[in-house]
Amino acid sequence: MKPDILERLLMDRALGSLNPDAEVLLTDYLANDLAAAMQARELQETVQLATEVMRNPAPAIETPTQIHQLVWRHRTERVLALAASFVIGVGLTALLIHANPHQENVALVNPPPPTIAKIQPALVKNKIESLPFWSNQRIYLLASAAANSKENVQ
Amino acid sequence: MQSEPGAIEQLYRQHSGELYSYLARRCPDNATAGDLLQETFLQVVRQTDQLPTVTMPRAWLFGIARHMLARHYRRQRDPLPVAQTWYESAPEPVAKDDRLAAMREAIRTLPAELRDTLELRLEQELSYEEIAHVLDVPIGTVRSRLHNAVRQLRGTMTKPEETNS
Repeated sequence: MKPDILERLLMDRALGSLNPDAEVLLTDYLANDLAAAMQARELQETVQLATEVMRNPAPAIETPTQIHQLVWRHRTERVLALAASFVIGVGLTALLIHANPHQENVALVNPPPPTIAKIQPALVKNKIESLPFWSNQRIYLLASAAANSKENVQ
Repeated sequence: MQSEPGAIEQLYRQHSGELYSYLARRCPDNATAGDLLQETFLQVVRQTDQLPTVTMPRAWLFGIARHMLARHYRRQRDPLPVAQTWYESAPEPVAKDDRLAAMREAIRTLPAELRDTLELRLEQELSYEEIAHVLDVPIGTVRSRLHNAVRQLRGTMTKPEETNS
């Protein structure tokens, strides 16, 4: 057997990972190869010693938390996350509601220009003619009619 | 089919002991190990949708525990490699035996990736396939790391004998 293949088999054997069939064949082989058997023993001892070191000291087993407590902790986290989302949503909505009345106030301060001239030009003309020449209402209606005619031209 | 809480509870009953042991060997105190075990299973609860697809539950749990441990040490910004903590704090009876003390030292000086792999095999008795799953490396890499680790340990352990003879 090639030395590198033999070493691989011996390593897997020492590590307890050789399949049973290969192990039987390897044991037969080692019975006829003293050098290989010695190598196998050394590897076995190394792994046993390493295992002993690694498994000592075995810490005292404590079971700190029951699983249902973890499930409840997870559920609590989810409920808290939902509650936080709800609070943020309500907060944002409240902010928007507070912002809108301000816009309505602005709209009240600056009312839209009268559209009488746009709707009924003939009635407006009659109204203008019936008003005194220097009356404010006549001047206002004339200005509106002029503005309206400009918009129509554009 | 078992309900999710039932399945998690079964996993907890079967594996919490060995996971705690694995964590306790790598933590400065039992309380931290307990916290990390709790974090591990909390992560399992969060990933319950993955449970039906988990083919190697033991390896899956060790993978999560290992991740939690690494995260803990990252947060602590502890410069010590994880495994050194328990090797250095091993109790006196182990140190009394020269060969065990020498082996302990030899393991401590192994490169971290070889030591991690060897620990999962010898300490936790995970199969090559499970180790590959935990470490997220090919199974050939696991085999080669284990062989290298054993070769190095054997080399270190036989050196004094060679010098004596």
